[in-house]
Amino acid sequence: MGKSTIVPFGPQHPVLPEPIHLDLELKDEKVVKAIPSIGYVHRGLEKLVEKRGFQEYVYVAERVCGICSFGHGWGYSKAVEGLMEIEIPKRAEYLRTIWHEISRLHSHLLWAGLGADALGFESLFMQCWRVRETILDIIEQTTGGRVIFSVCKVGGVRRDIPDNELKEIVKRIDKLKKEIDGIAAVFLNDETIHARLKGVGTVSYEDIVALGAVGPTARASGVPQDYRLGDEGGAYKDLGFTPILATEGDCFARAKVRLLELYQSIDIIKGCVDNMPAGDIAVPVKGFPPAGEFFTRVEQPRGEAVYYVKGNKTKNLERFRLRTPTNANIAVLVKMLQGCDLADVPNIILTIDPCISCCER
Amino acid sequence: MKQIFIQTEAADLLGKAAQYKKDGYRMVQILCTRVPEGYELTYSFDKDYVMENLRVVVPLDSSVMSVTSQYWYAFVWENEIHDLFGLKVEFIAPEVDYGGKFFQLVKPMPWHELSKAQQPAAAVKVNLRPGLGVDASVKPAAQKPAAPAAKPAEGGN
Repeated sequence: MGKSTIVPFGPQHPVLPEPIHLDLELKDEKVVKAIPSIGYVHRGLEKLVEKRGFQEYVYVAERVCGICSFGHGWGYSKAVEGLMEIEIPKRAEYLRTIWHEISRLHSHLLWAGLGADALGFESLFMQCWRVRETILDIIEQTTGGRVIFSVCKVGGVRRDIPDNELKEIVKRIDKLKKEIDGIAAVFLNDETIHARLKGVGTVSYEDIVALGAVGPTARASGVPQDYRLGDEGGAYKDLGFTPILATEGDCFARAKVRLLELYQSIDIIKGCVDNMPAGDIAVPVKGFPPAGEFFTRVEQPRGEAVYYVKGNKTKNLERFRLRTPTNANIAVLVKMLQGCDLADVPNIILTIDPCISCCER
Repeated sequence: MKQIFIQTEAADLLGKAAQYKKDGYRMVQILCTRVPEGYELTYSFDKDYVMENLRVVVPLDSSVMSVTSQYWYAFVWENEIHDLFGLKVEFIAPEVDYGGKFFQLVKPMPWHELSKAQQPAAAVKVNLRPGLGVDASVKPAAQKPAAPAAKPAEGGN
């Protein structure tokens, strides 16, 4: 063993789309300890709730992150609806579920591209992002935006998707499924990918439980932790839901869970279209949020996100808090990096799919 | 989602966190809110998708014990609370106690001040030319004194 060396990783690094800093303590090529620090993109968005009306703040909540934007809008709206005891129409719940799962497809395909790029697999990266374009087109067709949806509001949704358009979306995602088959076949069978991801960054079931990890990171170690099983709202209870699990707990398992979740999201969207209820898409919201507080949760593409609102009978909320999945996965990342090779650090970081904008808000 | 809030004392916090851990709960988050009395802390624990929230109010000049001895990963939220609100968290596990350097912020403790809605009415600033010798702020309107009681009718002669 050589002497200990500290190697800084980030905040600017080719594999990181967003800034996070890690001090990696190395002995030879092995990481002994990883010390993270964040705060490079803290924007104080939670604090902004004091200055924006509770209806207007949905737009701010969506801008916490570009990838999980719809989920944040939904989580915030759901929390305010809980506080104000508003029950939204069934059709709105189904539409929210469709957009949320489209968002998951968008997020996982984006992640797959970034993961392939980090492995040096340029053509796979381009294929993933080419397939993702279809998803972005569907988002644009149904919401008018490509990244920020702006369709969720307190009391329901702002736009409907006509039934003929829903059928057309199903046809497009059926085609997409075949293209995802191609991507998944490479990811799951390529020898180079196996060599880079299998047995790397392994974290056990017990460690996941002890470190409070969430989302695909937890599910890849066999922990059935998915809030779509809980009181998520949307159409999940009606359609039935079983989380995708793997047991290996390594980088490959985390990649596999996300790829299989692409198929699951397509099935959920099709289930929503087949069972779409007729009726209104929103209810009128009268008055201001009462004095009180409300917690709710949403299973984002990266895992469970927690939303909290506190009202004070005015148009501005007193407090909004968002605990994002990356925030919960930092501790397990520290654990995964212990004992790994320096060359594997980028892959390990990417397989928790970190979203630093979300994490810092 | 069922809302469960359990008020507790700061001194009991660690014991209750230990009990949650023993009972198999996952710690979900720690929330800090600045309130006129100091800091309102909410520790959330989850089991089978039901969340229980421990509520502690800590005075402004006081500190709170870290729960990292029970839930090591709470360091993320405890360091965040320290850096954003300025609340001192005692005995964070030493390897993850960042001593105020977890968040790289331009302005220290940006959320320490009470929100405007919670602050008492402040003096309204008036834009006056300097040198007039006039106080440039107007104090908030004092409460009007109660209207004097109607004079008793004078007895006529």
